[in-house]
Amino acid sequence: MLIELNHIQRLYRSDEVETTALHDIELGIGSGEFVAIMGPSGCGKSTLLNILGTIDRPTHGAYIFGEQDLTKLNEAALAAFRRENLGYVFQSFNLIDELTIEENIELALIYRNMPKSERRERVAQAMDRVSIGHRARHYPSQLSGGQQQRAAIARAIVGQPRLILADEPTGNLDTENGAQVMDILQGLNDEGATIIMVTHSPSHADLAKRRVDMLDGQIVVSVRNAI
Amino acid sequence: MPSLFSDFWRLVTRYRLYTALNVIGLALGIATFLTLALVARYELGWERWYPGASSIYQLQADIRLNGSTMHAESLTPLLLPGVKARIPGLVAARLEAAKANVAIDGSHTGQEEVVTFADPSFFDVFRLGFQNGDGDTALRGTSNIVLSDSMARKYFGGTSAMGKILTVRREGHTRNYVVTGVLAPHPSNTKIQSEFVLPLPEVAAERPCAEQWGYFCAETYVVLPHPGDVSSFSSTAHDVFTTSLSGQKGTGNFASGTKLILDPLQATRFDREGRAADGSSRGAIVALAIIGGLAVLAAALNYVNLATAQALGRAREIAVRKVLGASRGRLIMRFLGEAQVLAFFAGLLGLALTELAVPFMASLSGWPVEIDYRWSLPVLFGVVLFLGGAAGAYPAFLLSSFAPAPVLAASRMPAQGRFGSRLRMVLVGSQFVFATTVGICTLVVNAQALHLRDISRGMNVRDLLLLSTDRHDETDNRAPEILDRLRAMPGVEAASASAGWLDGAHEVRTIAPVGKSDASFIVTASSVDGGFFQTYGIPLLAGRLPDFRRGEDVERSERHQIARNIVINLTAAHRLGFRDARSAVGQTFSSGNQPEDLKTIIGVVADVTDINGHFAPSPTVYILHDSRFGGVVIAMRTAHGALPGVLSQLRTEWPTLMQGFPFAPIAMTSMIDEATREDVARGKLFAIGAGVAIAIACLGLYGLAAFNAERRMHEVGIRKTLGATTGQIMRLMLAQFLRPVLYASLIAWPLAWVFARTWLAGFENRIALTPLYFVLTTLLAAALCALTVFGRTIGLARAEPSRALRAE
Ligand SMILES: Nc1ncnc2c1ncn2[C@@H]1O[C@H](COP(=O)(O)OP(=O)(O)OP(=O)(O)O)[C@@H](O)[C@H]1O
Ligand SMILES: [Mg+2]
Repeated sequence: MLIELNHIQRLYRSDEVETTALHDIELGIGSGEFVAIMGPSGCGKSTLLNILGTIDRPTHGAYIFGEQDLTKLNEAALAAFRRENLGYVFQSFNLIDELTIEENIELALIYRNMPKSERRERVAQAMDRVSIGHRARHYPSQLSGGQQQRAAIARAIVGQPRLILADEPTGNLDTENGAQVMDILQGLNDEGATIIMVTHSPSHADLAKRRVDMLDGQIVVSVRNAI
Repeated sequence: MPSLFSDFWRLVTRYRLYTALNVIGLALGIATFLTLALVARYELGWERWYPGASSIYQLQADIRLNGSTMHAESLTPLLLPGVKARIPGLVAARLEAAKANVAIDGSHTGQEEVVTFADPSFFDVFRLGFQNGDGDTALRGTSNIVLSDSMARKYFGGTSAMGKILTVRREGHTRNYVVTGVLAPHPSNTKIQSEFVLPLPEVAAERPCAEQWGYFCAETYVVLPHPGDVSSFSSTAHDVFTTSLSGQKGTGNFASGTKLILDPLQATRFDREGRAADGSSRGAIVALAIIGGLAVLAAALNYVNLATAQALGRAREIAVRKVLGASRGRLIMRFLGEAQVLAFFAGLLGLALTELAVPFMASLSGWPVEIDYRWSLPVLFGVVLFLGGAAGAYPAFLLSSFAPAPVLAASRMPAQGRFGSRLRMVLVGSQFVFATTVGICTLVVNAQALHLRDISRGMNVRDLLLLSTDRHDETDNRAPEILDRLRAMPGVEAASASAGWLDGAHEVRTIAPVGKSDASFIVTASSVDGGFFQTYGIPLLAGRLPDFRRGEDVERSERHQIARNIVINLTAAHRLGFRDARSAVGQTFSSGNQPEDLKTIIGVVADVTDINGHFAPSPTVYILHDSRFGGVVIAMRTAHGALPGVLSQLRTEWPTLMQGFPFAPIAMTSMIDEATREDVARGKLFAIGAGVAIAIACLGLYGLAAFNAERRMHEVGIRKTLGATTGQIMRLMLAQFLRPVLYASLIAWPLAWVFARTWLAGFENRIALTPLYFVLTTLLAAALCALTVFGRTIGLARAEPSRALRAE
């Protein structure tokens, strides 16, 4: 098992109002899996993904990655964990407006001690992989949504992470661009990357190897897709 | 209008931080400006407030004496009566100020005061207001006296001073005067002393200034209402001067080349180098005025900066207003109005701050500056209008220029792209240029002031006590007895009586290398006793000290024996053309054209610097006297740590020791503190200016950091998601702000260097302008910047990335 979530709970407390975004989540994900998470709006999908990505902390429970309990790590160690192991793709792309596409992608490597030349090379490879190389010097605002999402995927894979997290990566895209993104993700999975993806599209969910359905902060079913 | 205020209030409550930073910044700028403007107005307003000030002139002279020129602010008292005889109806007066003991009606417990003997026409020249009595008659009787209101209160308390008797004792003469007038309070920025004004005594011997042509000691003022009168008056005065002198014996020396000068009274505050006698200078005032102006400018920049930053946050509001049909012109008016209202409140707060600052500053510096509302309010009004208009203009045009469609469509706060963020950095940078420049100058000015206080003055200033520093013939004859008693006190190591040194009554002579009378120069001649050099701790550089046992060393006035052997200081030796102290010893110089005027140098002592440290040491000859000094300064050196004991013994022995003198021994170090007080005060004033400049700059930075934190929140979330640590984020943010601060230093350094050099050039004894001041200030600015940004950014850098991303 690459990932094990034990009794994960997440409470949000704001001005006397308490929301339980996640109830007692139990989930194991093996290396090389491609998991699609589905469920109605507000059921806690993004929260779960954020916890898996260590950019949010569970209120309760343990998150074991490999041999390590990540909930026991401090800030700096978590930052180091993220830059070594994780890649992210967001629904709203989350590229930095002031940086070029190339620089945005390089950002995923910049916090590692990597020589400039190697960074350049890897960025070029990643851009080729998603066919965005000809837009390297452009700013995000000069690209279409599909191009921006491909750039975001290039940024997610440039560090060769073991786990890729994607929160509605096709949510802002038309059918054609959505299909392209799904293609790339499938290709990455074929090469061995573990992928966890949140989606509202049943057809995209069907492209994953396994499907997890959530409701009100709980996992209701987890089914392996027939291939 | 009411809607403007209510809208303004909504804005204030909505953008509390920005509004507070803005108002505080503007108020600080306004208060600094107003305070420094009041100081500058005071300093530049000397004498200007006298009615008819512009037609009052002071008659002065450039005296030629044996080939050297010397400027005299006073003239011989004989001149004015001669001129008056030639110009009927001339309004003019002589003034002879002197220290005297003033007591109520014959009492023996008087106090030491400066009294001003003057012609009865004094109040025709200086038309001061009277509380009681009037200027036309107050001085008409020979035993009348006019008091200032503060002196009337000091001597007579609540009761009326009019008709009361005051006893004035001076140089052995005692006279009673009847108070015939009390002056109304008047501004203190005048050199004319009018605490006690009384007629010149009829007996010439009782006047402070000798009635002789060679004595330049009576201040002479004339009123010339028409500018055309100036040249005709000058030629008449000059004519009287030369014709009268030509009939005098012994004055031919300086008659021929001496020039009378008619200086407007208002111009007499500063000398030709722009320096005032109290150490103030035109340069210093201009510097303060510039700081005041720059403070307003910094506040304006701060406003522009924060307002444009805030404007971006209001982009949506403006876009909505535009969609609803507001025209650009109306929007501009609206934002200008907002700026004006903000400036108005800042003006009120600034005035309140000034109210606090002015008394504080007055107590700090001793400048009796007051807030004159008739002057301050119009100035304040002007500054508020300027700030509201000038500072409000750019944000108003920027805000109103947003095109609604892209703003409404954009998900994120617009940042005005690279131009906008660069502009904001330039604005903050400018504020730091100002802050850093003033900061460096402040360090230099303060270091120089401390330097002036602490420089070696060529003598040992510690444990040195002065008993009297004023001219008093009474002590003359008793000096030997007083000194003997002082030396007998336990803890006293040496004591000395001298004249022409510290008492401001030094005798001026000219000397020249032998056979080169054209190379003559003016020296200070001090009369000293045998213990002088030991008491003051003035080191002998070469040769020997004068000795009473050698007749050639001593000047005995009663028998008219004149000393042939003389001790001079190093500057005099250099001016005489000797390379060093050693080579001067045994050599001669001439002090006139008689045979006995040939003097032999037996010793050279170290130079002694002015008490205030401003000026270069003057060439000095020390003459050993065995009796009458004509004004005595008594000094004693105490053993280290013995001062308290000596003081208490002095107090017990005082009545028999120094009969009739107020008990006021003063340590040399206190005298130095007093003499350098203005320099130190000016340093503090600079420090306040610098503090405000830095505070405004930091306010701007804080606002910008807040704006930046808000705008970059999302970016920080992304960076953290990609594995950046809190430390890396902080470094990124700090670098963004440190860069303009460091660039600002690059501009500030040369600016400050030019200023500091110009400033220091005004001092003969000055500190070296080392890089230390520059580096230190920049480090301080960087540290403050880091702290400010840190405070505003650390929360963001530490937040969970998911929260930052959600902030979209
Ligand atoms: N920072 C927060 N503070 C308070 N409540 C929160 C916070 N973040 C999420 N929630 C709440 O937690 C619940 C789950 O939110 P989450 O974003 O995980 O839903 P989701 O399944 O991703 O929905 P969607 O499909 O619309 O993206 C919601 O009810 C939401 O309101
Ligand atoms: Mg979601």
